[in-house]
Amino acid sequence: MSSTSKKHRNFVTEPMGEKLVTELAGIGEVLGKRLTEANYDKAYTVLGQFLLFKKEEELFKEWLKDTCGANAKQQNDCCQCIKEWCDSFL
Amino acid sequence: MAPVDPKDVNSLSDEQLSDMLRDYGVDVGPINVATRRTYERYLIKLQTGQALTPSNFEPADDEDEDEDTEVILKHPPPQERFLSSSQPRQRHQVPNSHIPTPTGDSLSRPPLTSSKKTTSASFTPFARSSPSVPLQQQQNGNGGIPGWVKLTAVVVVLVLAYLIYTNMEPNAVSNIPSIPNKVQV
Repeated sequence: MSSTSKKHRNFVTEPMGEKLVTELAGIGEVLGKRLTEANYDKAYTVLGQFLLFKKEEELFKEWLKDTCGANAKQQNDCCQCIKEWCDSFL
Repeated sequence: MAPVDPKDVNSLSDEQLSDMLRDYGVDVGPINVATRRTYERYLIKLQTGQALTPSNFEPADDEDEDEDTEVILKHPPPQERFLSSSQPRQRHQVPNSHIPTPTGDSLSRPPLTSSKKTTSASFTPFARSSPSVPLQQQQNGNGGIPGWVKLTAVVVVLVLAYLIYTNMEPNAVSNIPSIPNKVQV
């Protein structure tokens, strides 16, 4: 099992509900602020974006980079977090 | 279809954009205001085979904490707590161990501190009996005669008796004059 952060585990183990976008793995304070300014304030909006891309990881990562300037690691962490959540709850 | 310049991507219709992406094997989702820009960028990336224009944002590297270390840190603290709690216990045990030994040495007979009362209670009748014995027997010394003195005395008496008995002469000579034979008249 690859190393997963505590933030990742906290997110993927329960329905996201009204969690903020900053609760996503890979999304900290700075990236969270940028996403919020683009009106992606809740985690489910990011989920919606992921689903619109038909769960294509490369497209989602590209979107994430374009929207908030996430680096490769942050893109990967966020993408894996959302993907795992979908595997459990979607 | 011919490669499209980045400038011309915007002029593509949604359907055309979708078709071009599918040619690259992309499972294209709905192209709307939320996704179009990303699909355009992705198409250019696929065509040029290079990374797209650098993002407009500064890299936020000091983002997100390495939370893997949080998991690791959970282990040492319990151990540290365990170690720190064990040391005071050892410290407390050391002074406690010293306390009973001096009290035990001073009393000499009762080793336990809890049995002080019982030994003291038993000691008093012994104290009463001990002075009464030498008074009755009228022996020299305040406390009673030590055992080894008594034993030596007995041995000495026995030795003397043995010597006397062995040196006794079998032919005893009495000093009583014997009466000579009676003379007849």
